Amino acid sequence: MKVINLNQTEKNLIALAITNSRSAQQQLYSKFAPKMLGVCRQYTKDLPQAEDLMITAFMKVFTNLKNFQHNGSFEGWIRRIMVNECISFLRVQKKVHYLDDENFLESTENPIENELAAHDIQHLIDTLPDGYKMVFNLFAIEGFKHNEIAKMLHISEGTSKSQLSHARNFLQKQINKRNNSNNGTN
Amino acid sequence: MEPTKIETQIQSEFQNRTIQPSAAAWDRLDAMLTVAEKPKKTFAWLQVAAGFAGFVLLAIALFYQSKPLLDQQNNQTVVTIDTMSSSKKTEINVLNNNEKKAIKTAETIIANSDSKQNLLKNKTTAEKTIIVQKTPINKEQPIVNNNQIIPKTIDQSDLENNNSKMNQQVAQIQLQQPKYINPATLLADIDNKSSIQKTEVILPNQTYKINAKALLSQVDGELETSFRERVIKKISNAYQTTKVAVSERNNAR
Repeated sequence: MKVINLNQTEKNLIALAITNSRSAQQQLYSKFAPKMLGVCRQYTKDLPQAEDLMITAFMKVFTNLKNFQHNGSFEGWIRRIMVNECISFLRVQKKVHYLDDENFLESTENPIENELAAHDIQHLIDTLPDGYKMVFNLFAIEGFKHNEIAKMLHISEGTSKSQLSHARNFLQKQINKRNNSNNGTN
Repeated sequence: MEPTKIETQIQSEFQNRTIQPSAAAWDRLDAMLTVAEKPKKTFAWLQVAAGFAGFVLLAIALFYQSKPLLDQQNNQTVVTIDTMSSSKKTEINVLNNNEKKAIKTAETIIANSDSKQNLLKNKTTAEKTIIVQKTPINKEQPIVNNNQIIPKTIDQSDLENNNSKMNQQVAQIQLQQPKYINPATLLADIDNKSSIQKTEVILPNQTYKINAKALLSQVDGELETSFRERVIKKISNAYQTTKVAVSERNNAR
């Protein structure tokens, strides 16, 4: 009953927000803004920049709210808008270029197995180059497939795979370095 | 390519990660939404007015393009009329002068004829008196005054001589004297001559000649196409449509 009530509440809020009810819009914002800011933070290490991206994306959410057809979850729909906004920002502002080295072979070194905290993971992801970071985020965190990533980033599927491999290798090296430094201190 | 262990961990960690936004974030979003929700000024009426103005300007431009031809045609007739009027004036002046001269000559002729008539009369009276005086003295007849004519026998040879002389004198006088001319006929002759001169006068200032075909075509053009009327009709129709559109828009609001 509670879930139904929540859904009913969310539907009512969406219906009111479509009518430009500022209170409904604020309630939706308060409900989803923290998680969405975390999404935007994955793509840029600058928090104010991530907040700007979130606000811009929420503007698009409320503007196109009438186009939401209740096919999937409302959160997933907002999250997709956030990701697209971040990708467009990185492509336009930072002008990310992808090296087409489809023949790159994945490293056979031991994969990353250490359990890390979220802030450590975030720190590691922040060290990735923008190209690697985007593909890694889309694949590893958002769960998109390579063909979907290729369409979103306007790259080939092979480039997407190579970028992911590069990202994994890079992260692996960073983790090993971190571990070595920890062992060294210890 | 399946996700690795660390990637699944990262996914689970980051799917539920939350970062509290700053307090100013909602204020900024609120301001952006307020700006976006303001009713945009519709410039539909402006577009309609601009379209109507453009149509009117186009119509005026097309109208004035055709106007010079009309003006030229009109000028042809106008110019000819003007020249004709000025030439007419000169003609009239000339005619007046000619008429005056003719009248004067006629008067002089009449005066001369009158004088000549008087002379003739005098001559006839003189002849008569001569004839009267030439009555034979031999015959006993009473001598009367010159004013009275007394039928008496006359010496024929003398009379004949005298008559011949008189006739010669009269002929000479008649030759000297011009014939009596009726002034009305004289004026009529002058009018005929002037009418002839009218057609023969070449107008120095005339640049266009009257072309009957052009006049006829002009009239035909005015009857068939009245371009001005068409333009005015189009403008009125456009005005009506815009008026209806504006009223409908206002009613919709």
